[in-house]
Formats: sequence, structure tokens, C-alpha cells
Amino acid sequence: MNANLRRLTRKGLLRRKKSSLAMLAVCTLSFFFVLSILILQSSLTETELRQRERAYGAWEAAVFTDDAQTEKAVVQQPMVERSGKIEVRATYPIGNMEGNGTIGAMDSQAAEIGKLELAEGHLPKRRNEIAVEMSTLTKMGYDYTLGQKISVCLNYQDPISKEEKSEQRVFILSGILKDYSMYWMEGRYDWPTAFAKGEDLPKEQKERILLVDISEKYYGAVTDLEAFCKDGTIYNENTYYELSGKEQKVSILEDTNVLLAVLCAASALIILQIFSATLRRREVGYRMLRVIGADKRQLQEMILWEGGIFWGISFLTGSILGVAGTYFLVWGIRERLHFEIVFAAEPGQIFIGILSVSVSIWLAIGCSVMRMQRGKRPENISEQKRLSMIRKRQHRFRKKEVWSREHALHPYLWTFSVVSTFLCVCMIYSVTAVVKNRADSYGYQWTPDYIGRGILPEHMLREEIPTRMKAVQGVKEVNTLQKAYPISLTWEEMEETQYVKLHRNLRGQEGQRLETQVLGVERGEKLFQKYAKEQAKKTLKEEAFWNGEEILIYLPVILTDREGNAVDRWEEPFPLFYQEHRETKIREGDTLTLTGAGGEKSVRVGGIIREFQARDAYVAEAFSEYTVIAAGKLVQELNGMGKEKTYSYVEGFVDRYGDTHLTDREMSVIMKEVEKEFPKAGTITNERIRREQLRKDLFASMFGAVFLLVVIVILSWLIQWQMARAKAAGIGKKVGILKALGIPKRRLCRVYWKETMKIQLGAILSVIPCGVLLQSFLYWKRLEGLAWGDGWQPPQDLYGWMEQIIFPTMQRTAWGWLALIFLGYLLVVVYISYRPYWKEIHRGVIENLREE
Amino acid sequence: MAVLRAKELTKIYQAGKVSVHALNGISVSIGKGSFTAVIGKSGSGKTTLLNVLSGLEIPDSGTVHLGAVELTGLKDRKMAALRRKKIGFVFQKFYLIPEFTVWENIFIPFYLDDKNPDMDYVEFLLKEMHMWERKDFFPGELSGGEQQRAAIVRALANRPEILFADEPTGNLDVKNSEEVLALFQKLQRQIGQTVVMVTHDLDIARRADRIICLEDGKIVSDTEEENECES
Repeated sequence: MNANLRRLTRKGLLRRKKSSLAMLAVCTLSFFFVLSILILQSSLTETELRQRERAYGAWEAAVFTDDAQTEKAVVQQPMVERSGKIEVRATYPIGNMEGNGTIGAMDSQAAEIGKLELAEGHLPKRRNEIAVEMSTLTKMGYDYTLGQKISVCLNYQDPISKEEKSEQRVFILSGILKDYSMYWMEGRYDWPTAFAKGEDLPKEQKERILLVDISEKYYGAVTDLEAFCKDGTIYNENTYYELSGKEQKVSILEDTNVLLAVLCAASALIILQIFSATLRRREVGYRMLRVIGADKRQLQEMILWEGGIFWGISFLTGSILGVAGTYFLVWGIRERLHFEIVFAAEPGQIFIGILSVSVSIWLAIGCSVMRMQRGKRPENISEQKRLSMIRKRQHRFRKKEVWSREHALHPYLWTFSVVSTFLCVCMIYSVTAVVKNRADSYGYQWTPDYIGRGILPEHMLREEIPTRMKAVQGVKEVNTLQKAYPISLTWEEMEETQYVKLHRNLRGQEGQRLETQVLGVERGEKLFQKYAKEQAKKTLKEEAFWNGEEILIYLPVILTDREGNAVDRWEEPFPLFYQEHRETKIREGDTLTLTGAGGEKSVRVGGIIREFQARDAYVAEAFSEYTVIAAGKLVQELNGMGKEKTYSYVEGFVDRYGDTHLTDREMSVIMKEVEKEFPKAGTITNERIRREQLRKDLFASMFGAVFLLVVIVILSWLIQWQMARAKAAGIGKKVGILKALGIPKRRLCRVYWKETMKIQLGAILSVIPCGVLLQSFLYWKRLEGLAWGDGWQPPQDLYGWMEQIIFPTMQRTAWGWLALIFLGYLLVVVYISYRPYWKEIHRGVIENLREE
Repeated sequence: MAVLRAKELTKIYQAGKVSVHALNGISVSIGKGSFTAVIGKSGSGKTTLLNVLSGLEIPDSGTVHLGAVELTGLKDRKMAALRRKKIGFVFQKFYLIPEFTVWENIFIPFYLDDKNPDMDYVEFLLKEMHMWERKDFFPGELSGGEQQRAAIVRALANRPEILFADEPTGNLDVKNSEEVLALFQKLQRQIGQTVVMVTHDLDIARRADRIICLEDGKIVSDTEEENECES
């Protein structure tokens, strides 16, 4: 195509402002939305990675080897950015009953990338200095005074005789390492719990651990490393590489991918609609061009050049707006909502996003060109026939004629309009349900803010923690769960229950008694008032509870996979098929026998807390199977009189300004104050360390769902708008004829208003019962799964179905949200769907009739 | 000397179950520099004849030669090139492209051919048509007569061998119609432009040198052979 034609095409675009702008807006929005979603996704991932790196170190893999050559080869691998070396030299006994720990030496890199941080003091610099992990120090019976002498019995193998040797050594405590249990799963990440200078330790190395930071964040790198070090490699389950470390979990049904597919498809549909409409409007012009000598190829080139201009401009503006908009959105979230998030744009993802949108745009343009060249399809009723039909009825206009598919619109368009409206409303309904679900999950994790005991060393739990914690400014309330252990639980029907068998089988318990825990609460504490009592308020006699005669019992649901193995609720990937098992033999009023160090106590079950009723995850986390919640007095009795109070769980509600929802920054200020009050406890973090990750996921998930909802509503409006324009364009001539025949505009408006309302309202009113029925079906399937071994019977009659399935589903449906969203959607969609009709009806008769 | 020769042209349209013979074995030749009018009742086949002669439609049988080139067998690209270079069209509804000015509408055929227009000639035509002052106007800003004059300039700008006009005065008032017809005559006399015009008005047809009368797809009279057309 020559330059003159290109210039002419460009001029044409500029002069057809309205259609060009509509096309440009849709293309730009497509780029904007897709890029925003991708950048947000990579920002959330990057944020999570940084948080994990901060908490768990930068290492991705730990290679265990006793071979210096392997070590050298690993370090020289191109994917290895840096590595730190830990040498395990000997073992040493920790206390009387606590087993053995390992002692070794490490370089500074290992301390840095392994996040082996000191709570106090420094790593060994001089001979005979030692740094010991905090909880180990407690278990060994030492306090946290630096400079004190630590006596350690080193066990090692003699390098020459290969005999096991023991050597008693005295070190000076130079530093206290932070509690490993805060970060690392016990038994999986067995780093040495004490470090000294290499010269002070036996020469023979038991093991070398190389902590490896892999520079390239792709899954192949881990596989390569694994292939290279066939034995003894573990992966940091908290970094980029997943626990399995072998494969990347990519699902085409991931939220983002589904969202992208929906976006691209909707963009393609809208662009096709707009572009086809503009081409249709210019059909005469194109025919004229053919007459004056343009061949098909030249016409195609001109149209494609037009498409190219749209693509080019929207690519530039959409990309810039997408990147800049998301940057400011991330900035806003960080600065205004005080939510920790970093901006990260992954070039590969952006490229894929741009490619997807580009393909959609070009596909739509290509289809439009093909549609134009194929020409107009003949309508099945000719204009003449319509006129004659109107005349036969003595010029009487009946609304039925307009409403009738044959008369009102082209049949394809009518069907397409109804189907697309139904689909749009379906999507809005489903995504609203998803948003509700995600918001519930997110809220479930968020409030209230609290600090917990997870960071406190064991000996601190024996002090008067609650009182001291309460003294910290910002901490509003402190709640405790006192600990009684070990406790055996029995009751009459115990042996009969399927659940007990399963519990024993899964937890490896044997014998006639069931080992469990009893947690004591104090009067007036929020934990009891708000959570425990709430769940059992119907049956619990409060005075009997405080007297130690009644208890609450926590009966969780055990999940098993198809092989009968226990499944963790937070496990990823969660198995597709699983069974839920509930204990049903224990009922309110039953008598249980608790046996502790202080003797045997018979108590009545005052209330049962089911796992799914315990709304707050942190409470649920403190509980395990058959956990008994009792008055602090009862716990004291079970532990034996005279024993000091011990806590299983201490939490402080942080509530500086009267609401329980604090920003991370405010939370951190209060944490520091608490830390100041407990200098020996090291850095106090809250129990959210592990939960932070889950929260980020939930936030991303909820944010994604809300974003999806917004995008789908906007897309639905755009689709409906385009549909309305196409429909209105099709009625112009007929409206002109009808007006010429004397039908008043008001009457025409009324008819088309009703048509618009019927389609839109009809779609909403039909989608809601369909949605409830679908959700009921899913609920029924869930109940069916839940009922295994539980004697649950499916509903037998319609009444049963209504009572057991439909009504509970309706109760759980977010009616408020649905009403609000559908109302907002309806107001806009009715306006944009009816407006083109209105405009067409209010045009002059001659203008209507002149229409080509 | 004939610039256009058509032989035994047949064109049948299918309207439901009925076959309509729009052209029924028509043979005609158009001499160079002649001004020919084709007249007939509605449905007599005059527009179809014009379309077939100009290569816009392909006849079911028969041949059309423009000079030495046979139009019926030409591929799309060659036909398009031929229309660009040798044929001009004027329609009842003008068909100017609304988003382009008169000036740009005139140049479109040249742009399609990627060649520069003869500016002096275009200026001459515009001045002849009294459109020079209005060359930068958009079609929507012009009257019907002005639009038709602009369409005529567009059709003539590339000096076509033959100009086809399909009811060029159908949408114009008497004064504008008179101007357009006078123009055709002037062009024929001054530059020897060959014009084939379709009309249903005998008075307008009488301005031509030759009148071909059609009925049911057949030539019922031709003033080249007879003196008077009985319409």
C-alpha cells in the first residue's frame, strides 16, 4: 500500500471520531486490563518472595555432602549465585530428655543467606566462644546471660581409629541465635543448634551443608541442581521453589489465566462488533472504491492498515497506562492502605499479555474483514413484506410486532443479544459468589490483630506473661490458654466411634485412652467470651463451667484422601477427592473422664465446638483433636496443686485506636514496644509469620476476584452497549416507516423500553434461581462427602430438600452483595441498552428512511 | 471507430422461483467520442447493461471489449486497474466518500494507482465545473448539484476512455440537471470524451447523439439505425 493511501486512511480515521475513539478505547482498555492484571500478579508474587526471603533467608536449596569435590562443583555451577557453608562436626546431648543437637561452624555467607540471625551477642570470633540457638539454650538449662560458661559434651568419631569418642568442653556464650522453630519445620531443616570456631571442634566433619542461592528463578534450575547432586538435597519450601522442587505448578484454570482468557475473548468480541459496525457503515464507500478501481487486496490493505493504527496506538497507550496505572495502584495500596507490596513487572509475562491482546485484536479485525467481504446475508423477511403486513392491519401498530423476533430485530441479533445478556449476568453472579467466598476467607484471617506466644521461649511462658504484656502501650487485652499435660481422655462410647479409630490410626496413638490437651481459660477473657462461649451458648451452663464441672470440647473434622491418609487443610495442591469425618458420638451432656498428673476428673460436656464453627483460624490452630477447653481452675487441678501456671497460648489483642484492625506498620511499632518489655525474649514477632503468606495469597485471591468482577461488569456493559448499537442500527428504517405511518414516538419508546427491560431483567431473574440451584447441588455433594460413616441420609422428599439443602444455601448466598451489584449493573445497562433505541426513535423521519 | 463493443450479452437474475432476463442477447458498439443515452422503463435492463458494459457485473454469456481488451475474462486486479485507468463512473447518488474532502475524493483513484494526478487538468475540470472554490469542502457541506459535479470531476480526472453515467440527474433539480448535461456535451465536443448515460427521461436522452431504447432486456430501437426512439 502506498504512502498516499496510508495517509488517506489515517485521515479517514481522524474524521470518523466517534467510531475510531470507541475502537481505540476498547483496544486500549484491553491492553490496560491485561497488563494491570499481569503486573499486579507479578507484584504480589514478588512481594511474597521478598517477605519469605526476609523471614526464611535467600537460599533455595541445601546440599548435604561429605565430599569436598562435590562441594566445589556445586559452587561452580552457573545457576548458583552464592553459597554458604555449614560444617557439622559433632553431636551433643541437650538436657536429660531432649535428645541430641549438632554443633558446627559456618561462614558469614551461610549466616546471611540462611537467615541464621542472632537475637543477642555475636557469632564466635575468638577461641572457645559459642553461639547457641535460643530454645536449645533453654532446654540445656541455661539463661540468656552472655559471657556465661556453657559446658558441652561433644560426641564424634575419631578420624584415625573410627571409634566414637566423647569430650567435655567448656565454651563462653558469645551469642544467642534466634529460635529456629519460628522458621523451620522441626525434623526437616536440621541445622546445627550451636556454632563455634572450627579450630575448637573435632577435625573430622560429619557433614557439610551448602546453602545455595540460585540466581535464576526458573524451575529448571532446581531440577538441574537436583540432577547434579543426586543425594542429600533439600529445598527451602518457603522460597520460589515449591516443596517438591521438581515441577512448576501451572494450571490453565488459575484465576489469572481464566481472567486473561475472559478478557481476551470479550475484547475480541467487542472489537469485532465495533469494527464490523464501522465497516458496515462504510460499505457504500468501499463499494465505490471498488467501482473507481480499487482491487480487493487494496481494500484489505486499507482496512488492515486501519487495524494496524488502532493496534499501534492502543498498544502504546494501553501499555503505558497499564504500567503507570498499576504502578500508582500499587503505590496507593502501599502508601494509603499501608499494605506491604512492591511493584514488579515481569517482562516475559508482559510480553505474553501483549501478545494475547494483539492476537485478539487482529483476530477480530481479520474476522471483520472476512465478514465484510462475504457481504450481507439476506434477511428472511423483506422490507416490502413487512410493509405489506403493517398495511394489512390498517396501519395499526402493535407492540407484538416489535417484540416479535421477526419484526423487531434480525433473528441472529436477537438470539445473540439474549444469549450474551444471559452469559454476562451469569458471569457477574458467579464472580460475585467467588468474591464473597474470597472476602470471607480474607476476613477470616485478618482480624483481630494479635501477638502470640510463638516467639516466646518456653521458660517465659511460666512467668506472668499476661500481666506484663498488658502493661505494654497498645495492647488492649491479653488472653491465655493455660496448658495441662499430658491428659488422657475417655468416655463410655469411645471405643465404638469410627472417628476414634481413624484418629488413632492417623495419629499413631494406641491403648484404651486418647491423648489430648486441656486448655484453661480465665473469666472475662475475650477468647472465651467471644469464641468459645459463642459457639456453645445454647447448652453451656456458665457457672458450672467456671466451677470445673462442665467443659467445652473441640471436635474437628478429619480430612482423608482416597488412600485414607490424613490431609492437611492448607495442603497444596489439595486433593480433588477427599472425605470429611466428624465425631458424632460425643454429645452435649455426656460425661468424659480426664486424667492428668493431678488425678482423674469427671466432667460434663457443656458445649461442642466444631472445626467449621471456629471462625478464627488462630483459635483453631491452638486446638487439635478432642481439645478440651475448661476453666483455668480445672487445669490447675489436672496439673496438680501447687504447680505454677503454664501457658499453651498467650495472645495480646492490639487495639490502640479503638478498632481492632491495625496496619502492619502500626502493628510493628507495638511489637517493638512489647519487645522492649521482654528483652530476653529476643525479637518478638507475632504468630502471623506463617500466616502472612496465607494472607498474601488470600489478599491476592480476593483482590483478583474483585478485579475480575469489576472487569466483567465493565465488559458486560461494553458488550451490551455494542449489542444495543447494532440492534438500534437495524431498526432505523422500520422506525422511520412506523413514524411516517403515524405511530407516536412515545409509543415506540415504550415498546423498546419494555424489550430492553425484558431482556435484562429476565436474564437477572432467571440467573438467580439457576445460581441458587447450582450452589445447592454443590452443597448437597459436599454434604454427601461429609457424611461418610456419619449416618447422614440424603433428603427424601421435596420438603427435606428445601429444608436441608435449598434454604441453607439461600441463607449463605450473599443477597446484599448480589442486590447491590445487580442493581448497579441494571441501572447502567438499561441506560446504555435503551439509549441507542431512544436516539434512533428521536431522529427525523427522513433521516430514518434515508438510512442505507 | 468503436471504443466499446458488446456481443450477445445475456444476464439472468433469479428472483425466487422466477428467472428475470435482464439482458437478452444484446449487441452494441459505442463509438469513440460519442454521447450515448440508454433509456427504457423500470426493469428494462438499462442499469444492468451499463454495469455489464463497464465490467462491474459479469454477463452470463456474451463478450464485452474495451478497445482490444476483453472485459469478461479479466481477473479482479486487472479489472480494477482497467477501471482506474480507462473507465469513469457517475451515479445518481453521487457516492462521494463522506470523510474525505472533494479534493481527496478526486485523488483517490490516483492514490490507488500510486501515481501523481495531472494537477492542471484537475484544476481545469474543477474550474469548468465551478467547483474550484469548494474543493476543500466535505460532501456533507455541498448541495446535490455540487456533489454530482464533484463526482463527475472524480470520474474524469484520470482521463478515462469512456464515462458511464447512471441516471446522473436523477437526484438533481432542473437547473443542476441542465448544467450536468451541458457539461457532458461540452466534454464530448471539447475533448472528445465518450459518454454512456442511462436515463429514463426521453427529454434528457435527446441531448445525446445516440439513444438506445431497451425493453425486457432487448434493444428495441437505436437512433444510430433509426431516426426516432418510440418510448
